[in-house]
Amino acid sequence: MRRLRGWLLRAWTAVAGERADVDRDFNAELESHLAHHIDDQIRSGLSPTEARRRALAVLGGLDQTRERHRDQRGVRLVAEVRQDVRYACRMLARQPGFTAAAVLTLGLGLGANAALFGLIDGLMRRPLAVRAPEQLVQVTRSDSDTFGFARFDRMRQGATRLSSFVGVSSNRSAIAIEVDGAYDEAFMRTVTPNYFDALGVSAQLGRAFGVADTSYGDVPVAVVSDAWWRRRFGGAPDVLGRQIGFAARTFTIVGVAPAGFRGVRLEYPADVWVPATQREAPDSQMWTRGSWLLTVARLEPGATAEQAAAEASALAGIDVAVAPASAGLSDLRPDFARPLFALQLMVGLVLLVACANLASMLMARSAARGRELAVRRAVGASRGRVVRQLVTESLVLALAGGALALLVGAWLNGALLTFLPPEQRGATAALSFRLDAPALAFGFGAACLTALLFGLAPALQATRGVGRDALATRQPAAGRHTRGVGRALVAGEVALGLVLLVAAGLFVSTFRNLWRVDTGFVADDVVVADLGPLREVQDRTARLALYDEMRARALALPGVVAAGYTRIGQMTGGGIEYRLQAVGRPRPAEDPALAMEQRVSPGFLETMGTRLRGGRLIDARDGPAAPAVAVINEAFARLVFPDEPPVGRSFELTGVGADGPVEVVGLVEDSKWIDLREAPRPMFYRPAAQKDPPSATLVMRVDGATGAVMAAIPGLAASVDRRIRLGDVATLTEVVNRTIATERLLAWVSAGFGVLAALIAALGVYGTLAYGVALRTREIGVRMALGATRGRLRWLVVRESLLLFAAGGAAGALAAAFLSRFAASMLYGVTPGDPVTYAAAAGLLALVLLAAAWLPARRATAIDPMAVLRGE
Amino acid sequence: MPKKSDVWQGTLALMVLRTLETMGPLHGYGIARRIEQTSDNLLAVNYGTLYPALLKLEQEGCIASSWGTSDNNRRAKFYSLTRAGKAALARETREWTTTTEILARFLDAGGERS
Repeated sequence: MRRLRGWLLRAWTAVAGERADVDRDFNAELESHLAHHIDDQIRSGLSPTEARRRALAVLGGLDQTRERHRDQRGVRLVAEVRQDVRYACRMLARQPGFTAAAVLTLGLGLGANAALFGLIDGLMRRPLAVRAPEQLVQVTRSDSDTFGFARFDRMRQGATRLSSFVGVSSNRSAIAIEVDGAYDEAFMRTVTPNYFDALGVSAQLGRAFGVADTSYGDVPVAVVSDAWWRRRFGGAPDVLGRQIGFAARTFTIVGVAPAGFRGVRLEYPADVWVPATQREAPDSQMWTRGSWLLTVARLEPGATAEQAAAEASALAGIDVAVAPASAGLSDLRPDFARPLFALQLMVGLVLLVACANLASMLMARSAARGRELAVRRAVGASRGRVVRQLVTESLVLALAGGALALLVGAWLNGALLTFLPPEQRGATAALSFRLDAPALAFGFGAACLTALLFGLAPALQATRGVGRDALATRQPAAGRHTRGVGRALVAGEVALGLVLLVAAGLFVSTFRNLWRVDTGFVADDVVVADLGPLREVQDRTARLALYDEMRARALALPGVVAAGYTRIGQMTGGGIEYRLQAVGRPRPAEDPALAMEQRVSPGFLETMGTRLRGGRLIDARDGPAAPAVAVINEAFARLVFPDEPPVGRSFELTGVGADGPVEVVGLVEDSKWIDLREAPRPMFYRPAAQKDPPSATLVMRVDGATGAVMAAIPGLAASVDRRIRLGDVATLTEVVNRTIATERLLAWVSAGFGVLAALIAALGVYGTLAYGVALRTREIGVRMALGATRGRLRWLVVRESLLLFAAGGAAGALAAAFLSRFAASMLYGVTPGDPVTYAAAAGLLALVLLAAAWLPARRATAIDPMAVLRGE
Repeated sequence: MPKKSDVWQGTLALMVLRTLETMGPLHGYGIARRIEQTSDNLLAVNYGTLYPALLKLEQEGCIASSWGTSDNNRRAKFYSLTRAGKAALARETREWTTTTEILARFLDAGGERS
């Protein structure tokens, strides 16, 4: 401890310099010392001059004493470090090619790591700008993230291990907010009135609302975000008192939230907050029905999440989970965390490859500098001093690479964020690259670590046994050992390169398999338009009439050949499952058949291209008064009617929503409904006219350009009814692509880094072979003179690259087999040990390495034996 | 003599700490004189090596320094023992005693055999 403290103080002085008065202080102390000594001497009878002379003699020289004192203060260290840095810069400037290559590889490697670090930090760690974010937890149900108000209130009242319960509305889309007669799309959060108090956030302008002034009878109030205030009101202070409207109520802005605070949800940064108590009347269904509250609370000091969960479960009467939420609530986190960690691991490996490559390059270089180092040792530099000098060079390289990495990181982070699904684009702000303290610490730390990784070994290597011998011989002091370590490094690069190529292969296969999976629909040339829920139209018949008219008008658009609608869009996530049984064939209660219901209009299945297997599809005759009918898919048929042809038979719902027997009139193929990975799911389609949908998604098959149809939809919706709040309009292909955004990200990025790693490894192989040929010039010359053929000489070089490939490849295959098991859950249609992937990766790598060996092999055969022999 | 100063560094620190413990706060010259006196002038402290040693102890947190006025009515920098310094002194005294005992026993045993 003591030693460490002393050393740190000196190092600090060396880095930061010292106060100017320290030297003066010490001079004063020396003067005082001499004065005391002289006093003593005079007292014992010496003349003042003689006394001073003797005192100085015993002190052993003023200058020497000062110098020693400065040493101990760490001042010499500072001079040496400055000198080393200057020297390092000169050495690096003298070899611009090497320096550029090194800085570039390091910049790419470190930058990729910095980009991933930014994403992971933003997603997993970066705390919300609230008071004591580390106390925050999210309270969820086992099957859903949201609670109804009744349960929420029971937990809030009864909990002792949790406090500061905050409820936040769970809606995911922006809404139109009226400002001065115009509408503006913004994220509005309906929150419990204690929101700002409980989170410990106060307004930067005006005030935040609280429990006291937010009953339904009070003037409705709202708090707006800093961003929205600037965007919509130009940051003007007179925003306080302005009125905004939505949901048929007018709210008065009373405060602006601080700039760093956008609510607790990562993907949906809030623009406006209103108290739930003022948005909905006390007799509203919102307080008695529905499940809409995302719940955040603070864990009491000393309580554990398990205790809190047990208590909340008892209060709510259902299973409740409590998880840390200091970084906010996120939809992306569960899906993205694993892929991001996989990518972080990959870019970490890329950085390792780059380090190994630099190490081998430095090793070859310092071998060539053998004489220089020997001279420095001979004139009195200690080994430690020379190592320090060499490591300083590496450090300068790494820091230059680190500076470049900040640019690369920012760019790559932006590129990675474009892979986010559109509905989660809101997270861009939270996940984007920031030059904050953790990022800088990570970048600086990673740069220093890499410098040690690639710089220390070559430095120790270069200074080993360099002494008088090295001065005496003309040959560089590179022995067998140097080449052995260099080869091991390159083999390591090959191994890591193979690991990365295998990972790339697995992820690309996964993506391709998902892309090619039999979806049970034809995605090409289909346009999907989300018509949204028609909350303002309460009458079912009127609502259905609106949807039908939309369909009819869409069919009239030029190019549209088929159209239909469904309650919930295919591949946009969801459907409702019901318990059911074949009529007259009760199933045991513990094993009810579960199937997902879709409410569709005539033309929907035709538009999607889902093929009919028997019977007929839903058509115009299935009106509200006609017999209840359904079309089922093959998985449904297998589950409910295993033994007989299903068409013509009937089933009935047994649990919630039971409405009598339904006749099966058609059988269609299975189709993917929620995501591409799902197993065939039992499904039945009911006519919208018989079971009306509260929301609808319109689908249109287009013969020709989809763009024109997409452009026409908003006008069409507006002309049918102004109350239709059009959501997303996109091609079905795009909609499907969104569901495999993660896989697409993994495939592209892993392929990119796999190729990069292979190229760096090839560079390493090239370097080590070329260096080997240069070292063996004489040997090769002699062999040629003795009659060795060109083929044999080339083989000499190529054999070495094959050996490197074999050694590195074997190690890499083992490492890949070990690591890829952890990726199993992210793969589809390919096993972690897929032999084809391994073979392809190895083949590709072998090809690249052979190409890398070609130039050195040519150079070996171009050696002029006569020139070599004359030189002997 | 310069060769010996290296050897002295370790023990010099111990002597400084011990001197400050018995004498209380003292300036550099006073410490040097006291060490010489205690050793009956058998040891000649190289004053030049004393100050780096004092600085090192200060960096390590064993002693603290402040300017004051000496008996001679001169300004001087006074060093005093810190709590960490007391602990370090106790520990090093123990270690030193053990070492010398072992060495003594070793030398005695060797003497008997020869």
